[in-house]
Amino acid sequence: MTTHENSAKARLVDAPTPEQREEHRKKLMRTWSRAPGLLGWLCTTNHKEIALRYIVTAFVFFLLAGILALLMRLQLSRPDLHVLGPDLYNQVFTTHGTAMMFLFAVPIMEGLALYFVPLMIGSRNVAFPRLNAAGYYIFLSGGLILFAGLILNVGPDAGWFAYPPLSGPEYGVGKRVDVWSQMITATEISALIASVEIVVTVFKQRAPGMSVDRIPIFVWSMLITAFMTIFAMPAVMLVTTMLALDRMPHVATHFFNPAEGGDVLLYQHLFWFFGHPEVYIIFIPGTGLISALLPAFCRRPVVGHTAVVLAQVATAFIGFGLWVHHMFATPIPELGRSFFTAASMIIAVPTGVQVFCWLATIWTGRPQWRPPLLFVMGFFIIFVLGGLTGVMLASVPIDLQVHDTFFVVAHFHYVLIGSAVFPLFGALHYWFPKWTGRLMNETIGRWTFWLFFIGFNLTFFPMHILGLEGMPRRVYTYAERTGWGSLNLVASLGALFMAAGALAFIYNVMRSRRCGEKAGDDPWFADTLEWWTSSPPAPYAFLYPPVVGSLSPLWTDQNSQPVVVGLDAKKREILTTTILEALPDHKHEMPSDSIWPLLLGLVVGGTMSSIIFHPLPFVIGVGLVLLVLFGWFWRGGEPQVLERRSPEIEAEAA
Amino acid sequence: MNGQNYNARRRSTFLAITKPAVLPAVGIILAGCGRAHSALSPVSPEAADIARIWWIFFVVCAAVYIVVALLVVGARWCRGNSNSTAGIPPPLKVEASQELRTERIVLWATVVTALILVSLLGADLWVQRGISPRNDDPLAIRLTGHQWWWSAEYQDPNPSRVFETANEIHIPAGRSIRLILESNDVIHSFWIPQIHGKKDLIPGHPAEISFRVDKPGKYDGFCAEFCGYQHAHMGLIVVAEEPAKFEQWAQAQRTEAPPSLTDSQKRGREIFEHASCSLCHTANGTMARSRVGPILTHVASRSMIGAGVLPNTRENLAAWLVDPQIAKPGAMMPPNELSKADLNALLDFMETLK
Amino acid sequence: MNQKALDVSALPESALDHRSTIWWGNTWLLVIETTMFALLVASYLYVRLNFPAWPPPLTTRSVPVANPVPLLTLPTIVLGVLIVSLIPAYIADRAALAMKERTVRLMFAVLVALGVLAAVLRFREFHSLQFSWNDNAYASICWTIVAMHLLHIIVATAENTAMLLWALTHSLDRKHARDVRVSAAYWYWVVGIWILLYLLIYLGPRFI
Ligand code: HEA
Ligand code: HEA
Ligand code: HEC
Ligand code: CUA
Ligand SMILES: [Cu+2]
Repeated sequence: MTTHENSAKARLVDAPTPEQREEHRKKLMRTWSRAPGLLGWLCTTNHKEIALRYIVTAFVFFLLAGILALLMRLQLSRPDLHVLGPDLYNQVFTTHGTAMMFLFAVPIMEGLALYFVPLMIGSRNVAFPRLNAAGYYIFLSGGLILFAGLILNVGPDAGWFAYPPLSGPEYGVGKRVDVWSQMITATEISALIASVEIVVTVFKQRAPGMSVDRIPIFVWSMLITAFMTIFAMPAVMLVTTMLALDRMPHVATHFFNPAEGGDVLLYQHLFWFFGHPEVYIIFIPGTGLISALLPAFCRRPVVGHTAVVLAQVATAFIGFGLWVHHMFATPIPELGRSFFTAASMIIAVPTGVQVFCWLATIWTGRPQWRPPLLFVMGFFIIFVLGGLTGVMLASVPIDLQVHDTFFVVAHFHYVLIGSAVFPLFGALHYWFPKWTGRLMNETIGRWTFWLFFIGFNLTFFPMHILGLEGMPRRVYTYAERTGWGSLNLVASLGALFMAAGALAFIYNVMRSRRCGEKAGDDPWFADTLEWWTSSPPAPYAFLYPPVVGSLSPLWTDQNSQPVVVGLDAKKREILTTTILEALPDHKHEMPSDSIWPLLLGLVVGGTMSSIIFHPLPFVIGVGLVLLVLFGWFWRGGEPQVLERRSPEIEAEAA
Repeated sequence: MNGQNYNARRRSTFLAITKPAVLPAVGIILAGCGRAHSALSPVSPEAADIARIWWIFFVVCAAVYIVVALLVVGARWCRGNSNSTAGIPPPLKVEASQELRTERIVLWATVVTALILVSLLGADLWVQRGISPRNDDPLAIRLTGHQWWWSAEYQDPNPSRVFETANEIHIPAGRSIRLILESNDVIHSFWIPQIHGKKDLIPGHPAEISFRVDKPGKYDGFCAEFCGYQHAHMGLIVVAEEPAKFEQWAQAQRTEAPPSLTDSQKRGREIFEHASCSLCHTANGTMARSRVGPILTHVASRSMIGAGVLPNTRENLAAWLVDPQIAKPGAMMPPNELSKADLNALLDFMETLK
Repeated sequence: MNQKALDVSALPESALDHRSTIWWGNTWLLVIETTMFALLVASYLYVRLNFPAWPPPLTTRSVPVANPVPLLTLPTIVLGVLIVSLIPAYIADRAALAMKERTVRLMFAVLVALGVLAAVLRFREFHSLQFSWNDNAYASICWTIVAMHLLHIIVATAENTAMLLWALTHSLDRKHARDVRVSAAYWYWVVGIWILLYLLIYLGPRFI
């Protein structure tokens, strides 16, 4: 029974009549919507609901970590201030960095991927809906562990990469580093879950006709990111586990204890083997967002589609060969360092290719200067500067001077905020109507952009100079005589502008949700399939899943393409297709809503937070997880209420 | 420190030509330079080489940036612009031939990018090759990092000439120096911006760094790897001086603490030896022989207290002795309960430790 | 208005092999796990560099041992049990493809029994390492690799037990036939990765 035989079983028939469509819609609504009420909300497996939770939660973590940034800027605004003492400052910068990386930048991109990848490829859900829900709860528990730690004064304080011995049993006394390592484990489990979801969804659930050459760049970028996650995250889970084992009272292994043959450099290698790919795990989704926004606002497909995709693939590959550039100041062989210098510079080539393709898209297109495009332009100005300072850092001698100074802090905020936050804000303006059916206010949008853009440069540009001037990073204060005061003051004022921008954005969201201009289903006349659904999308997303005939389906008369019929509307059935050509292969029933993901999240979260105190809960945790998975597999014990639907839906379906 | 570039001879012609041209653009950066801790005011051949490669990278990257920024800003005026919030035009018809031409431009830009990067890589390796370890009879100093201070042991083939100091090292100008770097606890990093780049002090991984300072002066350094509460206050001062003056200093450091003459000094010495101080500190010539804290034999000859937190004055020292936790919260030295008279006596004694 | 429709109602409702999503999900899970073990192996080799002798002399005994290589008997028996367990796993796998319910039940019962046996013996196997996990970095890395793999044996056996219980109480449908195959694939990996790790942990110290 080969695939092609399967696809031959699909045949063209007449399109459904309006009556059939209406009938179909009612059935789908009954099948795919969830039970009302709290339990229904907690047990949903609808990827759109879960993805939005990821996005909102991660954005809240961004605001919290941003408030911590404001505290840091307050403390550093003048020499010898004592607003935060060293103890609090160390917790604050560690929590800021950790939260921004693990609780904001990575998960918010995952959220966008989990929301839009299925829609852009014309499917009704992600491949493993229950696992997806569990991933969210595990992510949430990781975030709660971190901020609970900070509030209880056991916030991690060894930096976002927590080098031993400072983070080891001897010098990292207390539970602070344990909070950090458990939080990492939790968020990485959820990142791995999301990655497997994305990979399998893209492999198997694309709409018929969406062969490999018709996959939108956004989907590619998320696929590539997922691959990077799969190969990079195990390293950080392993290294934090080793650290936790070293620290655990009754375990006390010696991985990083030089006295017993352990090695602190092993920690650095393992951490950065993850840590460098991590920054591209944040950057590549950003490039996906740019590639999704540009066609809509330049009214043409991205120039060099294949080149951009190949450049992303190349970035992902080379990205695994750069990690030592974070360790140039450690005693490692000269030759090794030169190799990593060369690799770090070469990676600028694929990035350059993308930048040039995007610029060409703008110059040969018809740019519409709406707020999302402004954010894209901000991306160029900021990210390219950060990338170029990255090239400087790749040179060993230069890096030895500016390593661990504010120059590096400037570099990474330029690349991180340039390639993640600016595209993200653009994307939030762009997709807001998809979520709410209403447009965001453009005037406030422009204010948001300019406040953020100017504030950003005021904050972070001076840091380059501070670094060259000798200001090390992670210092809670500095002396008057250093002369770093005025530039720090500028930086701190800039942060206020950024905060004002963030407030403007929040206000805009709150306002536009309720009384924004009505948007219709496709306000931007964009090219990809998510705009083919209603705004906000129905739980089943597509009344009839599409068949795809080109790279820009909505611009090449998608309405003349056939639609897919014959999926059973009485169960959550989707169509799977073949990996390369996306030929129809088989139908597949998705699981219903379920209580087990929530329970798994609780068990994993509970285990993670109690391991902080004692190794024993690990044993109990494994047992409980196995029990939950048993229930999951058996599909028993689901609460009856999950079968219920809201009265209107029930009435319609009856 | 007047930091205008050390040693003009060493500058390549390339920079001699380009630097004046970019001066206006980087005026803002230069404006900040010239303090005793700017990486761009080198006083050693090593730091000068690094500054040179920095300027090469800076000029090239600035040029690339300007081109990209012009392309971005210029897009505001490119054809087909529309600023209206009203209708969005239909998608453009992309012509294959036009597209091919655009892609060719992208291709060329990529080739140029690759060429620039290869040249930068070449320049980098070239300059880096010049920064090699010094073997010309260097003065060897074993520098050990502690949370949050430095100890330095001056090596000598003759063991009786070995001596130790803390937080402030003097070196002879013009002679090669070899630092043997070790850590006593967590990772620290040695960094004197005007002299050389960083080198980490990693437990279990002894490392070395070597340099030569040609210009006498006093240079600020920092611990550059996060090492806990007082990472911010782990300064290291390097004093480069004429060889003769250096020898004089070294000779003085080898001596023991002088005998206490006045009553007050004698009382101070007694407190020093019998109160808690001797549990942690060493002062040669006294009974204090412990290695927990910095050596104090010649503490009065140092310019700062507590690895750079306070200038070494009588008032500051008094404040430090009573409660180091005020100036340096978390420092590994406990507060001391001393009566006013005792404190004065202790200070009198410590001032003899020249 | 759509002109035509593509009717997929005649397509099969599931797939038993690499065309099913769950097969891919399992495969990527295994890639993640393999990466993790590869990094553990890399750490093992990295730590090796810090020791003049590998394994280091054992000084915690009353009579110190100069070259305390891991003992081979029990580990080799466990390895044997695991390799033998491939047979029922494979037979169950083929039987699921052919929808042979009885064979699946029987073979999974054998598989679970062998898994339990391997896990129980594995707890004793730790003694063959001669060291306690907190003696030195060598001991820590060896223990972690062996324990991490033990965790996989336990989890996989639990999964197989669940499959067995299901098979005993239900008649085999295609969906669960697919699950049987996926469980078998997971088990192949558990055994396969151990062959490599066994070579490293037990034979490695004799050669490197
Ligand atoms: C989104 C995240 C992101 C991205 C995309 C990058 C991109 C790059 N980074 Fe950065 N980096 C970080 C996040 C990121 N980095 C973080 C978080 C840290 C610090 C971690 C910590 O210590 O806390 C760090 C630290 C860091 C270091 C270590 C510094 C130190 O600690 O001493 C180095 C050293 O080589 C480096 C290099 C680079 C390089 C070469 C690139 C390249 O990929 C950049 C390539 C892009 C361009 C060059 C611009 C576009 C190209 C063109 C317009 C073409 C024309 C260009 C030329 C001709 C040059 N980065
Ligand atoms: C994506 C990642 C990311 C982002 C977006 C940011 C954003 C910001 N960062 Fe951060 N930063 C890191 C990642 C990030 N950072 C990392 C990895 C480190 C290294 C940590 C380490 O060394 O271990 C670091 C370190 C770091 C330092 C160095 C600390 C030190 O070394 O001593 C500083 C100092 O200025 C700083 C500042 C800022 C500022 C001002 C922002 C601003 O952009 C923030 C803007 C946001 C806001 C201002 C939020 C506004 C909120 C409100 C207005 C509240 C509204 C409230 C309600 C509605 C309830 N960051
Ligand atoms: C528990 C150990 C301990 C005791 C007791 C102690 N010290 Fe200290 N002392 C230290 C440490 C550690 C430092 C370095 C602190 C730092 O800079 O972070 C230090 C620093 C100093 C310094 C500054 C040295 C320099 O070069 O910066 C002086 C002076 C000093 N101690 C004097 C004293 C005197 C006098 C006493 C007794 C009254 C005393 N100490 C008791 C541990 C101790
Ligand atoms: Cu020592 Cu920082
Ligand atoms: Cu990197």
